[in-house]
Amino acid sequence: MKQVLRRIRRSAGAAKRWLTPSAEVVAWRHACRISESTPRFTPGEIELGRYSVRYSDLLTLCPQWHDIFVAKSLAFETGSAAPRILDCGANIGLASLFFKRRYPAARITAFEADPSIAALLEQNVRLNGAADVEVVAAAVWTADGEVTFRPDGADSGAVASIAGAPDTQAVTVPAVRLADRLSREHIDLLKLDIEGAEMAVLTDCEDALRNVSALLLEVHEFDPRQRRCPELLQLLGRCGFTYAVTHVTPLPWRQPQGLNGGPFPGQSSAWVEAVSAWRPEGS
Amino acid sequence: MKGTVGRLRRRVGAIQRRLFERPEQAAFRRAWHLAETTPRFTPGTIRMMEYTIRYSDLLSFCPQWRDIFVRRVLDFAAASRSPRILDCGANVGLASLFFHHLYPDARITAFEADPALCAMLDANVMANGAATVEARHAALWTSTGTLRFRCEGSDSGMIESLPGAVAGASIVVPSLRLRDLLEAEPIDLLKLDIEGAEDAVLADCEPVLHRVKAMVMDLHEFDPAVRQAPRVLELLTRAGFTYAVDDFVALPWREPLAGAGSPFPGKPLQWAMTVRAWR
Repeated sequence: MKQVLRRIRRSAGAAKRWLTPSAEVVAWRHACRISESTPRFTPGEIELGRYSVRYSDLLTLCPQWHDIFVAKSLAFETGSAAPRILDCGANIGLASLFFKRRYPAARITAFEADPSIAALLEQNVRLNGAADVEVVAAAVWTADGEVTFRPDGADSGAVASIAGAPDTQAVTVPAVRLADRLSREHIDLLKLDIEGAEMAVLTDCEDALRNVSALLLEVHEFDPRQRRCPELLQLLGRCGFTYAVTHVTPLPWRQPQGLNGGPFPGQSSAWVEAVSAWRPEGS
Repeated sequence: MKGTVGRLRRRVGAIQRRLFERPEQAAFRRAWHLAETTPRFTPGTIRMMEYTIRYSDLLSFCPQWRDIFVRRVLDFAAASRSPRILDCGANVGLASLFFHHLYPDARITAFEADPALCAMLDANVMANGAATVEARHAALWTSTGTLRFRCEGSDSGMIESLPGAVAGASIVVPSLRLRDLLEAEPIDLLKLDIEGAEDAVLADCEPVLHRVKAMVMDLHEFDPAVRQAPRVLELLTRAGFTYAVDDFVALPWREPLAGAGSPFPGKPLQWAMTVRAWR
Protein backbone atom coordinates (compact mmCIF):
# COMPACT_ATOMS: atom_id res chain seq x y z
CA MET A 1 0.00 0.00 0.00
CA LYS A 2 2.72 2.40 1.08
CA GLN A 3 4.66 1.51 -2.07
CA VAL A 4 1.67 2.11 -4.31
CA LEU A 5 1.18 5.52 -2.72
CA ARG A 6 4.85 6.32 -3.18
CA ARG A 7 4.71 5.32 -6.83
CA ILE A 8 1.62 7.47 -7.38
CA ARG A 9 3.30 10.38 -5.66
CA ARG A 10 6.39 9.97 -7.82
CA SER A 11 4.36 9.81 -11.04
CA ALA A 12 2.34 12.83 -9.93
CA GLY A 13 5.58 14.72 -9.27
CA ALA A 14 6.93 13.84 -12.70
CA ALA A 15 3.66 14.84 -14.38
CA LYS A 16 3.63 18.12 -12.48
CA ARG A 17 7.20 18.92 -13.47
CA TRP A 18 6.36 18.11 -17.06
CA LEU A 19 3.17 20.19 -17.10
CA THR A 20 4.45 23.17 -15.09
CA PRO A 21 8.12 23.36 -15.98
CA SER A 22 10.39 26.13 -14.73
CA ALA A 23 11.07 29.04 -17.07
CA GLU A 24 14.58 27.66 -17.63
CA VAL A 25 13.25 24.29 -18.72
CA VAL A 26 10.70 25.92 -21.04
CA ALA A 27 13.51 27.90 -22.64
CA TRP A 28 15.67 24.80 -22.96
CA ARG A 29 12.91 22.77 -24.65
CA HIS A 30 12.26 25.68 -26.99
CA ALA A 31 15.93 25.88 -27.97
CA CYS A 32 16.20 22.10 -28.48
CA ARG A 33 13.14 22.11 -30.72
CA ILE A 34 14.58 24.82 -32.94
CA SER A 35 18.06 23.27 -32.96
CA GLU A 36 16.63 20.04 -34.40
CA SER A 37 15.65 21.84 -37.59
CA THR A 38 18.66 24.18 -37.72
CA PRO A 39 21.85 23.24 -39.59
CA ARG A 40 24.99 23.23 -37.42
CA PHE A 41 27.07 26.40 -37.09
CA THR A 42 24.27 28.75 -38.19
CA PRO A 43 24.58 31.95 -36.15
CA GLY A 44 21.40 33.51 -34.82
CA GLU A 45 19.60 34.97 -31.85
CA ILE A 46 17.14 33.28 -29.50
CA GLU A 47 14.90 34.31 -26.60
CA LEU A 48 15.70 32.18 -23.57
CA GLY A 49 13.55 33.17 -20.61
CA ARG A 50 14.31 36.81 -19.98
CA TYR A 51 17.52 36.66 -21.99
CA SER A 52 18.08 37.35 -25.63
CA VAL A 53 21.11 35.33 -26.61
CA ARG A 54 23.20 35.50 -29.79
CA TYR A 55 24.91 32.26 -30.67
CA SER A 56 27.22 30.72 -33.26
CA ASP A 57 25.84 27.17 -33.07
CA LEU A 58 22.49 26.31 -31.52
CA LEU A 59 23.31 22.65 -30.93
CA THR A 60 26.12 23.54 -28.53
CA LEU A 61 24.09 26.31 -26.91
CA CYS A 62 21.38 23.85 -25.78
CA PRO A 63 23.50 21.69 -23.46
CA GLN A 64 25.28 24.82 -22.19
CA TRP A 65 21.97 26.36 -21.24
CA HIS A 66 20.87 23.12 -19.61
CA ASP A 67 24.05 22.74 -17.57
CA ILE A 68 24.18 26.34 -16.42
CA PHE A 69 20.56 27.43 -16.02
CA VAL A 70 18.66 24.15 -15.51
CA ALA A 71 21.19 21.91 -13.70
CA LYS A 72 22.87 24.99 -12.15
CA SER A 73 26.29 23.38 -12.42
CA LEU A 74 28.04 26.71 -11.70
CA ALA A 75 26.04 27.64 -8.58
CA PHE A 76 28.27 28.92 -5.80
CA GLU A 77 27.71 30.68 -2.50
CA THR A 78 29.69 33.52 -1.03
CA GLY A 79 29.22 35.97 1.77
CA SER A 80 30.21 38.84 -0.50
CA ALA A 81 27.49 40.73 -2.38
CA ALA A 82 30.00 41.76 -5.02
CA PRO A 83 32.22 38.71 -5.57
CA ARG A 84 35.17 38.96 -7.92
CA ILE A 85 34.77 36.33 -10.64
CA LEU A 86 37.01 35.35 -13.55
CA ASP A 87 35.12 33.52 -16.28
CA CYS A 88 37.86 31.91 -18.37
CA GLY A 89 36.66 30.29 -21.57
CA ALA A 90 33.47 32.31 -21.39
CA ASN A 91 32.14 31.22 -24.79
CA ILE A 92 29.03 33.30 -25.61
CA GLY A 93 28.57 34.38 -22.00
CA LEU A 94 25.93 32.13 -20.41
CA ALA A 95 28.09 31.55 -17.33
CA SER A 96 28.67 35.28 -16.82
CA LEU A 97 24.93 35.94 -17.20
CA PHE A 98 24.22 33.23 -14.64
CA PHE A 99 26.71 34.67 -12.12
CA LYS A 100 25.26 38.12 -12.72
CA ARG A 101 21.74 36.86 -12.04
CA ARG A 102 22.77 35.39 -8.67
CA TYR A 103 25.06 38.33 -7.73
CA PRO A 104 23.99 41.47 -9.63
CA ALA A 105 26.91 43.41 -8.14
CA ALA A 106 29.48 40.76 -9.08
CA ARG A 107 32.68 42.07 -10.65
CA ILE A 108 33.22 39.74 -13.57
CA THR A 109 35.96 39.54 -16.18
CA ALA A 110 35.20 37.14 -19.02
CA PHE A 111 37.95 35.80 -21.29
CA GLU A 112 37.26 34.25 -24.68
CA ALA A 113 39.98 33.35 -27.19
CA ASP A 114 37.90 32.79 -30.34
CA PRO A 115 37.50 36.31 -31.77
CA SER A 116 34.10 35.67 -33.36
CA ILE A 117 32.75 34.07 -30.16
CA ALA A 118 34.17 36.92 -28.08
CA ALA A 119 32.17 39.37 -30.21
CA LEU A 120 28.97 37.44 -29.39
CA LEU A 121 29.95 37.37 -25.72
CA GLU A 122 30.34 41.15 -25.74
CA GLN A 123 26.92 41.60 -27.38
CA ASN A 124 25.23 39.14 -25.03
CA VAL A 125 26.37 40.81 -21.83
CA ARG A 126 25.35 44.22 -23.24
CA LEU A 127 21.97 43.03 -24.51
CA ASN A 128 21.09 41.43 -21.19
CA GLY A 129 21.77 44.08 -18.60
CA ALA A 130 25.24 42.85 -17.71
CA ALA A 131 27.24 45.54 -19.49
CA ASP A 132 29.60 45.86 -16.53
CA VAL A 133 31.05 42.42 -17.32
CA GLU A 134 34.52 43.15 -18.65
CA VAL A 135 35.07 41.18 -21.86
CA VAL A 136 38.64 40.32 -22.82
CA ALA A 137 39.06 38.80 -26.28
CA ALA A 138 42.11 36.75 -25.41
CA ALA A 139 43.22 33.23 -24.60
CA VAL A 140 44.02 32.56 -20.96
CA TRP A 141 47.59 31.32 -21.10
CA THR A 142 50.98 31.14 -19.41
CA ALA A 143 52.37 34.33 -20.97
CA ASP A 144 51.13 37.69 -22.19
CA GLY A 145 51.39 38.24 -25.94
CA GLU A 146 49.97 36.04 -28.64
CA VAL A 147 49.17 32.39 -29.06
CA THR A 148 48.15 30.20 -31.99
CA PHE A 149 44.55 29.10 -31.59
CA ARG A 150 42.36 26.69 -33.53
CA PRO A 151 38.75 27.87 -33.43
CA ASP A 152 35.93 25.43 -34.19
CA GLY A 153 33.15 28.00 -34.38
CA ALA A 154 31.40 26.64 -31.27
CA ASP A 155 32.67 25.37 -27.92
CA SER A 156 35.76 23.31 -28.75
CA GLY A 157 38.32 25.81 -30.01
CA ALA A 158 41.68 25.32 -28.30
CA VAL A 159 45.24 26.57 -28.14
CA ALA A 160 46.95 24.88 -31.10
CA SER A 161 49.81 23.33 -29.12
CA ILE A 162 47.39 21.42 -26.86
CA ALA A 163 46.79 17.73 -27.63
CA GLY A 164 43.25 17.35 -28.90
CA ALA A 165 42.92 20.82 -30.46
CA PRO A 166 40.49 20.71 -33.39
CA ASP A 167 41.90 20.26 -36.86
CA THR A 168 40.97 23.69 -38.21
CA GLN A 169 42.71 26.71 -39.69
CA ALA A 170 44.90 28.22 -36.97
CA VAL A 171 44.63 31.92 -36.11
CA THR A 172 46.81 34.11 -33.94
CA VAL A 173 44.96 35.55 -30.95
CA PRO A 174 46.01 37.72 -28.00
CA ALA A 175 47.05 35.83 -24.87
CA VAL A 176 46.83 36.83 -21.22
CA ARG A 177 48.91 35.33 -18.45
CA LEU A 178 46.37 34.19 -15.87
CA ALA A 179 48.98 34.00 -13.09
CA ASP A 180 49.47 37.79 -13.33
CA ARG A 181 45.73 38.39 -13.07
CA LEU A 182 45.45 36.16 -10.02
CA SER A 183 48.39 37.65 -8.17
CA ARG A 184 46.90 41.15 -8.37
CA GLU A 185 43.75 40.69 -6.30
CA HIS A 186 41.56 38.29 -4.36
CA ILE A 187 39.39 36.10 -6.58
CA ASP A 188 36.18 34.66 -5.13
CA LEU A 189 35.58 32.31 -8.04
CA LEU A 190 37.80 31.18 -10.87
CA LYS A 191 35.79 29.40 -13.56
CA LEU A 192 38.14 27.69 -15.98
CA ASP A 193 36.94 25.90 -19.10
CA ILE A 194 39.86 26.28 -21.50
CA GLU A 195 39.80 23.09 -23.55
CA GLY A 196 42.94 21.31 -22.47
CA ALA A 197 45.10 24.30 -21.55
CA GLU A 198 44.14 23.96 -17.86
CA MET A 199 47.18 21.92 -16.87
CA ALA A 200 49.72 24.34 -18.36
CA VAL A 201 47.89 27.39 -17.04
CA LEU A 202 47.26 26.14 -13.50
CA THR A 203 50.83 24.90 -13.15
CA ASP A 204 51.94 28.41 -14.05
CA CYS A 205 49.45 29.77 -11.46
CA GLU A 206 50.47 27.50 -8.58
CA ASP A 207 51.77 30.33 -6.36
CA ALA A 208 49.06 32.80 -7.35
CA LEU A 209 46.28 30.30 -6.55
CA ARG A 210 46.50 31.30 -2.88
CA ASN A 211 44.44 34.37 -3.89
CA VAL A 212 41.62 32.16 -5.14
CA SER A 213 38.79 31.04 -2.83
CA ALA A 214 36.96 28.66 -5.14
CA LEU A 215 37.39 27.03 -8.52
CA LEU A 216 35.01 25.50 -11.03
CA LEU A 217 37.18 23.60 -13.44
CA GLU A 218 36.70 21.48 -16.54
CA VAL A 219 39.56 19.02 -16.93
CA HIS A 220 39.82 17.75 -20.49
CA GLU A 221 41.41 14.39 -21.19
CA PHE A 222 41.87 14.13 -24.93
CA ASP A 223 45.03 12.12 -25.31
CA PRO A 224 45.56 8.69 -23.73
CA ARG A 225 49.33 9.18 -24.03
CA GLN A 226 49.25 12.30 -21.95
CA ARG A 227 46.77 12.33 -19.05
CA ARG A 228 46.47 15.47 -16.94
CA CYS A 229 43.92 14.76 -14.26
CA PRO A 230 46.14 13.12 -11.64
CA GLU A 231 48.70 15.93 -11.70
CA LEU A 232 46.05 18.60 -11.74
CA LEU A 233 44.14 17.20 -8.77
CA GLN A 234 47.39 16.84 -6.85
CA LEU A 235 48.18 20.48 -7.59
CA LEU A 236 44.80 21.48 -6.12
CA GLY A 237 45.60 19.45 -3.01
CA ARG A 238 49.05 21.07 -2.71
CA CYS A 239 47.47 24.52 -2.95
CA GLY A 240 45.26 23.71 0.03
CA PHE A 241 41.99 23.12 -1.77
CA THR A 242 39.39 20.52 -0.93
CA TYR A 243 38.01 19.20 -4.17
CA ALA A 244 35.25 17.04 -5.55
CA VAL A 245 34.73 15.62 -8.99
CA THR A 246 31.11 16.33 -9.87
CA HIS A 247 30.69 14.99 -13.38
CA VAL A 248 32.39 12.92 -16.05
CA THR A 249 31.30 13.24 -19.68
CA PRO A 250 32.78 10.88 -22.28
CA LEU A 251 33.72 12.64 -25.54
CA PRO A 252 33.92 9.77 -28.05
CA TRP A 253 34.01 12.21 -30.99
CA ARG A 254 37.17 13.79 -29.60
CA GLN A 255 39.31 10.67 -29.20
CA PRO A 256 42.46 10.52 -31.34
CA GLN A 257 42.25 8.22 -34.34
CA GLY A 258 43.14 4.64 -33.55
CA LEU A 259 43.27 5.33 -29.82
CA ASN A 260 39.86 4.15 -28.69
CA GLY A 261 38.97 2.03 -25.70
CA GLY A 262 41.28 -0.94 -26.38
CA PRO A 263 39.61 -4.27 -25.52
CA PHE A 264 36.60 -2.48 -24.00
CA PRO A 265 33.89 -1.91 -26.61
CA GLY A 266 32.30 1.53 -26.45
CA GLN A 267 34.85 3.00 -24.05
CA SER A 268 35.88 6.48 -25.12
CA SER A 269 39.50 7.42 -24.51
CA ALA A 270 38.55 11.12 -24.32
CA TRP A 271 36.42 12.71 -21.64
CA VAL A 272 35.94 15.86 -19.61
CA GLU A 273 35.77 15.93 -15.83
CA ALA A 274 34.04 18.73 -13.88
CA VAL A 275 35.85 19.55 -10.65
CA SER A 276 34.86 21.95 -7.86
CA ALA A 277 37.54 23.11 -5.45
CA TRP A 278 37.34 25.31 -2.38
CA ARG A 279 39.09 26.23 0.83
CA PRO A 280 38.23 23.91 3.72
CA GLU A 281 36.02 25.61 6.28
CA GLY A 282 37.93 27.19 9.13
CA SER A 283 41.06 27.75 7.06
CA MET B 1 10.07 19.23 -41.01
CA LYS B 2 13.40 17.43 -40.49
CA GLY B 3 13.00 18.08 -36.78
CA THR B 4 9.52 16.55 -36.73
CA VAL B 5 10.68 13.45 -38.59
CA GLY B 6 13.61 13.04 -36.20
CA ARG B 7 11.33 13.37 -33.21
CA LEU B 8 8.82 10.92 -34.66
CA ARG B 9 11.54 8.39 -35.41
CA ARG B 10 12.84 8.67 -31.84
CA ARG B 11 9.34 8.18 -30.40
CA VAL B 12 8.78 5.09 -32.58
CA GLY B 13 12.16 3.72 -31.47
CA ALA B 14 11.23 4.17 -27.80
CA ILE B 15 7.90 2.36 -28.27
CA GLN B 16 9.62 -0.41 -30.20
CA ARG B 17 12.20 -0.89 -27.46
CA ARG B 18 9.43 -1.10 -24.89
CA LEU B 19 7.35 -3.60 -26.90
CA PHE B 20 10.28 -5.78 -27.95
CA GLU B 21 12.26 -5.43 -24.78
CA ARG B 22 15.57 -7.26 -24.45
CA PRO B 23 15.23 -10.06 -21.87
CA GLU B 24 17.97 -8.47 -19.72
CA GLN B 25 16.02 -5.24 -19.56
CA ALA B 26 12.70 -7.00 -18.89
CA ALA B 27 14.28 -8.95 -16.02
CA PHE B 28 15.69 -5.73 -14.63
CA ARG B 29 12.31 -4.00 -14.71
CA ARG B 30 10.64 -6.89 -12.93
CA ALA B 31 13.34 -6.95 -10.23
CA TRP B 32 13.17 -3.18 -9.80
CA HIS B 33 9.41 -3.36 -9.40
CA LEU B 34 9.84 -6.01 -6.73
CA ALA B 35 12.60 -4.03 -4.99
CA GLU B 36 10.19 -1.16 -4.45
CA THR B 37 7.95 -3.35 -2.30
CA THR B 38 10.76 -5.21 -0.51
CA PRO B 39 12.32 -3.87 2.71
CA ARG B 40 16.08 -3.26 2.44
CA PHE B 41 18.52 -6.04 3.35
CA THR B 42 15.98 -8.86 2.98
CA PRO B 43 17.79 -11.85 1.48
CA GLY B 44 15.97 -13.87 -1.15
CA THR B 45 16.17 -15.66 -4.48
CA ILE B 46 15.08 -14.23 -7.81
CA ARG B 47 14.76 -15.57 -11.32
CA MET B 48 16.57 -13.35 -13.86
CA MET B 49 16.30 -14.74 -17.41
CA GLU B 50 17.80 -18.22 -17.22
CA TYR B 51 19.59 -17.41 -13.95
CA THR B 52 18.36 -18.16 -10.45
CA ILE B 53 20.14 -15.75 -8.16
CA ARG B 54 20.38 -15.39 -4.40
CA TYR B 55 20.79 -11.86 -3.14
CA SER B 56 21.25 -10.10 0.18
CA ASP B 57 19.60 -6.80 -0.73
CA LEU B 58 17.40 -6.40 -3.78
CA LEU B 59 17.85 -2.64 -4.00
CA SER B 60 21.60 -2.92 -4.50
CA PHE B 61 21.25 -6.03 -6.64
CA CYS B 62 19.11 -4.21 -9.26
CA PRO B 63 21.64 -1.58 -10.36
CA GLN B 64 24.32 -4.29 -10.42
CA TRP B 65 22.21 -6.32 -12.81
CA ARG B 66 21.50 -3.29 -14.97
CA ASP B 67 25.17 -2.29 -15.15
CA ILE B 68 26.47 -5.77 -15.85
CA PHE B 69 23.77 -7.44 -17.96
CA VAL B 70 21.84 -4.53 -19.53
CA ARG B 71 24.59 -1.93 -20.00
CA ARG B 72 27.34 -4.57 -20.24
CA VAL B 73 29.93 -2.40 -18.48
CA LEU B 74 32.23 -5.42 -18.04
CA ASP B 75 32.20 -6.38 -21.72
CA PHE B 76 35.72 -6.99 -23.03
CA ALA B 77 37.41 -8.57 -26.02
CA ALA B 78 39.78 -11.30 -24.84
CA ALA B 79 42.69 -12.58 -26.91
CA SER B 80 41.79 -16.22 -26.23
CA ARG B 81 38.67 -18.32 -25.64
CA SER B 82 39.74 -19.14 -22.13
CA PRO B 83 40.92 -15.88 -20.57
CA ARG B 84 42.19 -15.88 -17.00
CA ILE B 85 39.99 -13.52 -14.97
CA LEU B 86 40.19 -12.38 -11.36
CA ASP B 87 36.91 -11.02 -10.03
CA CYS B 88 37.97 -9.09 -6.92
CA GLY B 89 35.08 -7.88 -4.83
CA ALA B 90 32.70 -10.34 -6.48
CA ASN B 91 29.65 -9.62 -4.32
CA VAL B 92 26.93 -12.19 -5.13
CA GLY B 93 28.64 -13.16 -8.40
CA LEU B 94 26.91 -11.27 -11.21
CA ALA B 95 30.22 -10.23 -12.77
CA SER B 96 31.53 -13.80 -12.74
CA LEU B 97 28.28 -15.07 -14.27
CA PHE B 98 28.58 -12.43 -16.99
CA PHE B 99 32.21 -13.31 -17.73
CA HIS B 100 31.30 -16.99 -17.82
CA HIS B 101 28.47 -16.19 -20.23
CA LEU B 102 30.87 -14.20 -22.47
CA TYR B 103 33.61 -16.83 -22.31
CA PRO B 104 32.28 -20.22 -21.18
CA ASP B 105 35.86 -21.53 -21.07
CA ALA B 106 37.14 -18.62 -19.00
CA ARG B 107 39.16 -19.48 -15.92
CA ILE B 108 37.62 -17.29 -13.26
CA THR B 109 38.46 -16.88 -9.60
CA ALA B 110 36.06 -14.73 -7.60
CA PHE B 111 36.98 -13.17 -4.24
CA GLU B 112 34.51 -11.84 -1.70
CA ALA B 113 35.36 -10.70 1.82
CA ASP B 114 31.87 -10.65 3.36
CA PRO B 115 31.19 -14.26 4.46
CA ALA B 116 27.41 -14.05 3.89
CA LEU B 117 27.88 -12.64 0.41
CA CYS B 118 30.59 -15.18 -0.37
CA ALA B 119 28.19 -18.03 0.49
CA MET B 120 25.70 -16.53 -1.99
CA LEU B 121 28.41 -16.09 -4.59
CA ASP B 122 29.33 -19.74 -4.25
CA ALA B 123 25.68 -20.85 -4.44
CA ASN B 124 25.03 -18.61 -7.44
CA VAL B 125 27.88 -19.88 -9.59
CA MET B 126 26.99 -23.49 -8.63
CA ALA B 127 23.31 -23.08 -9.42
CA ASN B 128 23.84 -21.34 -12.75
CA GLY B 129 26.10 -23.64 -14.68
CA ALA B 130 29.26 -21.75 -13.77
CA ALA B 131 30.70 -24.28 -11.32
CA THR B 132 34.12 -23.76 -12.93
CA VAL B 133 34.21 -20.36 -11.22
CA GLU B 134 36.28 -20.71 -8.09
CA ALA B 135 34.73 -18.70 -5.22
CA ARG B 136 37.12 -17.73 -2.44
CA HIS B 137 36.31 -16.11 0.86
CA ALA B 138 38.97 -13.42 1.23
CA ALA B 139 39.61 -9.68 1.16
CA LEU B 140 42.27 -8.68 -1.35
CA TRP B 141 44.94 -6.81 0.52
CA THR B 142 48.66 -6.17 0.79
CA SER B 143 49.33 -9.19 2.99
CA THR B 144 48.02 -12.70 3.45
CA GLY B 145 46.54 -13.41 6.87
CA THR B 146 43.49 -11.86 8.48
CA LEU B 147 42.06 -8.37 8.82
CA ARG B 148 39.03 -6.58 10.24
CA PHE B 149 36.24 -6.02 7.76
CA ARG B 150 33.01 -4.01 8.17
CA CYS B 151 30.05 -5.94 6.77
CA GLU B 152 27.40 -3.60 5.46
CA GLY B 153 25.18 -6.38 4.15
CA SER B 154 24.97 -5.32 0.50
CA ASP B 155 27.62 -3.76 -1.73
CA SER B 156 29.53 -1.32 0.50
CA GLY B 157 31.34 -3.53 3.01
CA MET B 158 34.98 -2.57 3.35
CA ILE B 159 38.26 -2.98 5.21
CA GLU B 160 37.95 -1.29 8.60
CA SER B 161 41.31 0.49 8.62
CA LEU B 162 40.58 2.42 5.38
CA PRO B 163 39.45 6.06 5.45
CA GLY B 164 35.69 6.54 5.25
CA ALA B 165 34.78 3.02 6.42
CA VAL B 166 31.02 2.37 6.52
CA ALA B 167 29.07 1.50 9.64
CA GLY B 168 28.51 -2.22 10.04
CA ALA B 169 29.42 -5.32 12.02
CA SER B 170 33.19 -5.57 12.33
CA ILE B 171 34.45 -9.11 11.81
CA VAL B 172 37.76 -10.82 11.16
CA VAL B 173 38.10 -12.22 7.64
CA PRO B 174 40.93 -13.93 5.76
CA SER B 175 43.02 -11.65 3.58
CA LEU B 176 45.02 -12.47 0.45
CA ARG B 177 47.91 -10.57 -1.03
CA LEU B 178 46.90 -9.78 -4.61
CA ARG B 179 50.55 -9.42 -5.54
CA ASP B 180 51.13 -13.12 -4.86
CA LEU B 181 48.27 -14.03 -7.19
CA LEU B 182 49.64 -11.84 -9.99
CA GLU B 183 53.11 -13.23 -9.51
CA ALA B 184 51.78 -16.76 -9.93
CA GLU B 185 50.35 -16.32 -13.45
CA PRO B 186 49.47 -13.76 -16.16
CA ILE B 187 45.97 -12.30 -15.90
CA ASP B 188 43.84 -11.35 -18.91
CA LEU B 189 41.36 -9.28 -16.95
CA LEU B 190 41.57 -7.98 -13.42
CA LYS B 191 38.19 -6.75 -12.20
CA LEU B 192 38.75 -4.71 -9.07
CA ASP B 193 35.87 -3.42 -6.96
CA ILE B 194 37.35 -3.38 -3.48
CA GLU B 195 35.74 -0.34 -1.86
CA GLY B 196 38.60 2.03 -1.21
CA ALA B 197 41.47 -0.45 -0.99
CA GLU B 198 42.53 0.23 -4.62
CA ASP B 199 45.47 2.51 -3.85
CA ALA B 200 47.04 0.32 -1.16
CA VAL B 201 46.59 -2.92 -3.09
CA LEU B 202 47.74 -1.63 -6.48
CA ALA B 203 50.76 0.17 -4.97
CA ASP B 204 51.75 -3.17 -3.43
CA CYS B 205 51.26 -4.88 -6.81
CA GLU B 206 53.18 -2.30 -8.85
CA PRO B 207 56.27 -4.45 -9.59
CA VAL B 208 54.10 -7.29 -10.95
CA LEU B 209 51.36 -5.30 -12.71
CA HIS B 210 52.97 -6.09 -16.08
CA ARG B 211 51.34 -9.54 -15.60
CA VAL B 212 47.92 -7.91 -16.07
CA LYS B 213 46.69 -7.30 -19.62
CA ALA B 214 43.55 -5.32 -18.85
CA MET B 215 41.76 -3.98 -15.83
CA VAL B 216 38.28 -2.72 -14.95
CA MET B 217 38.29 -0.93 -11.64
CA ASP B 218 35.78 0.91 -9.51
CA LEU B 219 37.85 3.75 -8.12
CA HIS B 220 36.40 5.13 -4.88
CA GLU B 221 37.02 8.42 -3.10
CA PHE B 222 35.70 8.32 0.45
CA ASP B 223 37.75 10.94 2.26
CA PRO B 224 38.41 14.54 1.12
CA ALA B 225 41.60 14.59 3.23
CA VAL B 226 43.02 11.39 1.67
CA ARG B 227 42.30 11.36 -2.05
CA GLN B 228 43.64 8.28 -3.84
CA ALA B 229 42.59 8.64 -7.50
CA PRO B 230 45.58 10.73 -8.64
CA ARG B 231 48.04 8.21 -7.18
CA VAL B 232 46.18 5.22 -8.62
CA LEU B 233 45.96 6.75 -12.11
CA GLU B 234 49.63 7.75 -12.11
CA LEU B 235 50.52 4.23 -11.11
CA LEU B 236 48.54 2.86 -14.06
CA THR B 237 50.53 5.10 -16.42
CA ARG B 238 53.84 4.06 -14.82
CA ALA B 239 52.82 0.41 -15.19
CA GLY B 240 52.39 0.95 -18.94
CA PHE B 241 48.60 1.05 -19.08
CA THR B 242 46.44 3.36 -21.13
CA TYR B 243 43.32 4.23 -19.22
CA ALA B 244 39.99 6.00 -19.51
CA VAL B 245 37.37 7.04 -17.00
CA ASP B 246 33.64 6.51 -17.29
CA ASP B 247 30.45 6.07 -15.25
CA PHE B 248 30.98 8.64 -12.54
CA VAL B 249 28.62 8.23 -9.57
CA ALA B 250 28.42 10.73 -6.74
CA LEU B 251 27.63 9.15 -3.37
CA PRO B 252 25.54 11.84 -1.65
CA TRP B 253 24.21 9.36 0.92
CA ARG B 254 27.69 8.93 2.39
CA GLU B 255 28.34 11.76 4.85
CA PRO B 256 29.81 14.28 5.23
CA LEU B 257 28.77 16.65 2.44
CA ALA B 258 30.40 20.02 1.73
CA GLY B 259 29.46 22.29 4.65
CA ALA B 260 26.99 25.17 4.73
CA GLY B 261 29.86 27.66 4.95
CA SER B 262 31.59 26.37 1.81
CA PRO B 263 30.99 27.91 -1.64
CA PHE B 264 29.30 24.65 -2.72
CA PRO B 265 27.04 23.63 0.18
CA GLY B 266 25.73 20.08 0.04
CA LYS B 267 28.15 18.94 -2.66
CA PRO B 268 28.94 15.22 -2.22
CA LEU B 269 32.55 14.64 -1.17
CA GLN B 270 32.53 10.93 -1.95
CA TRP B 271 32.22 9.31 -5.33
CA ALA B 272 33.12 6.32 -7.45
CA MET B 273 34.05 5.99 -11.10
CA THR B 274 34.89 3.20 -13.46
CA VAL B 275 38.45 3.13 -14.74
CA ARG B 276 39.30 0.85 -17.64
CA ALA B 277 42.97 0.20 -18.31
CA TRP B 278 44.59 -1.66 -21.15
CA ARG B 279 47.90 -2.10 -22.95
